[in-house]
This record gives sequence, C-alpha cells and structure tokens, in this order.
Amino acid sequence: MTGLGPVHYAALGGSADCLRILLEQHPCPREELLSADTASDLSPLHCAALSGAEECARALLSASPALASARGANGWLPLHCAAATGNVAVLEAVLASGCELDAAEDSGLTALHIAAAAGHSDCFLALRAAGADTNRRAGPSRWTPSCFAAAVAKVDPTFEGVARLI
Amino acid sequence: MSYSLVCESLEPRMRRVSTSPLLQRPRRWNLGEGLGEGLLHGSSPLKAQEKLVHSKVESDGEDEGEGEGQGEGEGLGQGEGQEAFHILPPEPGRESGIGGLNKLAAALSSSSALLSAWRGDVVEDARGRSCLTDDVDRFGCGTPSVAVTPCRSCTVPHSSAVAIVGMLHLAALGGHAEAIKTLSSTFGVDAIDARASRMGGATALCLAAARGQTGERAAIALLRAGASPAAGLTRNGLRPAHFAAWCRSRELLGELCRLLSPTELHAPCSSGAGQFQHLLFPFTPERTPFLPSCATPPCYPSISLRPFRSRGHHIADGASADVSTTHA
Repeated sequence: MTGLGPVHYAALGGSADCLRILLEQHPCPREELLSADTASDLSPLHCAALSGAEECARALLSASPALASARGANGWLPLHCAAATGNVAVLEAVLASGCELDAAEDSGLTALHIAAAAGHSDCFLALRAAGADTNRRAGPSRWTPSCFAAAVAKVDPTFEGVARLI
Repeated sequence: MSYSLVCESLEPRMRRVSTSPLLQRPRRWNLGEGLGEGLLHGSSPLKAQEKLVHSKVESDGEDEGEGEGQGEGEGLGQGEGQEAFHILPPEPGRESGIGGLNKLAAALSSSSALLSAWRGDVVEDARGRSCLTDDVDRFGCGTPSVAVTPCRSCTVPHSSAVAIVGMLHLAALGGHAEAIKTLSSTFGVDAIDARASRMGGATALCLAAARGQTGERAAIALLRAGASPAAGLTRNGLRPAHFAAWCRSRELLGELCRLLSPTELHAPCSSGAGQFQHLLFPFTPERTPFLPSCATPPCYPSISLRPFRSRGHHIADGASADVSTTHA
C-alpha cells in the first residue's frame, strides 16, 4: 500500500459498521490490510487510537490481535498514540490484547512517559494501575515518567493529584 | 437588505479526544462542529440544511480563505448584487482536499439556476436554463475538457457544459437526490463524472459522498445514474469509498462494495499521515511549553519543530532541571 485506504478512514471516522463492511470485503491477506502502511506509517489501529474510536479498535484487534504490536512512525505503537491523545478506552483495549506495557518508541519513551507529558491523567493512571514502570529513564533528557508528571503538575492543577501518587 | 446563505455543518465526524486542558485542540479539531458559529456571530450551530440570515456583508469583492493547495474553510462569495453566500466545507473539512468553495459560492450569486441546483428545486426546465454564464468556469465548477452535448437553445456549447457540470456539483454538494435524477436524466451521463478542476478535481459523486449521510441518497442516485464509483479527487486520490468510510455512510459504502471489486474498493489514496499532522502530534511547543526541548517527545510522524523558547522548570529529580533553551 502507498497511502491510507478506506479501512484507515473508517477508523479515523470512528465508524465500526463501515469498518466491518470493509473487512468483510477485503481480498488480500488480512495481515497485509492491517499492517502499518509503508508510506504513512499508520495502521488502522493507529488511526483508531488517534481518533478515539474504541469500537473500531476492538473490531480491529478482534480481526488481528497482532495489530497491537505493529509499529508506526518513530516506532510508535498504537498504545503510544492512545496515550498521546488521551483515549483511555482504546488504551485499555490495546493493553488487554497483550501489548507490551513498557514498550518504548524509538527514543526510548514508554506510553507512560507520553501520557504524563501530554497531561492525560486517566491514561497515566490506567497505565500505572497496569503496572507500568514510573521510574524508567528515557529519551535525551533521561527523564522518568515522574519527571514529566511533576512538570505537568506545575501548570495543570488537575495533574497535581496524579503527581502526588508517584 | 444584504443577507448571507449558510449551508449546514454536519455531524462532527471526529470526536474530541483530548480532555487535558494542556492539549485542547484548535477549533478545527471538531471537524464540522460549530463551524457555523463564527459566521453567525456566535449563534448555535446551524441545524437546517440551508438557512437565511440577515447580516451586513463587506462589499470589497474579495474572496477570502481560498486555498488552492489545500481544502479551505468556509467559502464566501459575493455576486453583483448585495447577496453573499457562505458554503461551509464538506464534512471531512480541511483534510478532504476539496477546495474552491468560495469560488463556488460566488457562482451561486451569479446564477439563479445554480442557486436552484444548490437548493435542490431544480430543474424541470434545466435544459432551457443551461445557457448560464461563462463565469461558472472561473468559479470553479467547470472543466472545459468535458464533452457534454449542449442543449438546443444554447449558443455557446462550452457554457452549456460548464453550467451543467456546475449544477450537478451543486446539487450533489447540497445532497439533493431528486435534482440529481432530474439532471442526469435530462442531460445523460456525459457530465456525471466531470471533475471540478478547482475543487481538487472532485466529481459530483465525491462531493455527495463527502457530505456524509446528508449526501448519501444523492451519491446513490449518482451511482445509479452511471457515475464512476472509483473516480477520486485528482489532488490526493481520495475516492468515494474513503469518504463513505470516513463519514459513516454505511448504505453508500454497501453500494460501493457491490459495484467495485475488492481490490478497487481498498485501493489506497495518495494521502498519508501528514494529512493528519494536527491530529497526530500533541507535543508542539505551543501546547507543551512546560517541557524543555530536550524532554519534548518526538513527533508523530516526524515534523520539524519551530523555534521556541521554553520556560525554565526545576524538577528535583529530573536530569534536565531549570532548563531554558531553544528548539533548533
């Protein structure tokens, strides 16, 4: 594939019904359809994670559980996308499918780093409850998720409670 | 009295997913939602398909917001009189690649026939009204390469072709299935797959599909009248199947599944992740000024960061405490 297909757009639009129609119609090996696109580095599950389409994410994971471990640009997993955009329902669905909890993207950041940096307290708490490592140093700064949480708490009062938990 | 004609904004197609006050997305994130508000001076989003509102209109004659390279926002067109027309973008909005809406809006104000097509109360006498104006071409609907049989009373064949194309596109954009049937039965299928060269190369079917469920019946009418189900935008390759999937048009997608082979149905467009950069990357310096440059997470996908000066932070256990630095 060289670009995004209708399946990607169904996931971006959050249309689980359309997604199912398209999956039923696909002629190629399903793995080819569901793998990360070579040009855009987006799998349909990445799209669902970015748009917060929980039902689509579940349909895609049901069709191909391996999607949870498909890496996109910069080595981002759908888990990282869900953490970055604050979609806790998708994040939990991806985690339930067996995605590695502390998987790092190319610069070493985990989903917990990203959820903390983005200030998504619900994702942060979900990851932490699942057992994510709060003291892992990563990235050029060698910051831990705790460092990010502390930085966010300085400007976002809603994150103060989260930071105190660490 | 001057007035504006505003087309509705459809259901929001993408949900707001950020709950963090740090990462509130710009207004464009809620694609379609509330787009009418600005035009209506803070009133609630429009519900009617077409709404007439009284407003003062600047009469400098300039079109605003036209973007040839990208799909632009709402179109504002002014004609010879005091009317001005706003056309809000089809539901996929800026990412769709459908542009030229302001030009199209301008065409509305220059032709009562086009306005009728837009409103869907076409065209029992469409043949007699096909001699419209050459201006339609420069307003973005026309495509001189289309061979359309002119009507008998039309003395300028090119004008006739352009006008028919414009009417089809407007009826499709308005989601008027009956008007589509009338136009296609009157003029045959020649014009159905004509592309609006200044609207990203959209066919009438692309425009109807891009209107989501509002345009679903019109899109199906176009398909049954012989429109090509695989013809997409020339700008980015988005096809009716992409729009149908994107806009949750289940019935239209089912029809496309019936007409297209699976390979055709799933053919990718030429757009990639870059189309959605504003969705993909929450860690712009503007959104996370509290993070020093060395701690800013990477982009998804990689895009260059603009220079910014972050505020210093002192993090007790952080390796990069009290940082004040500039992104390169």
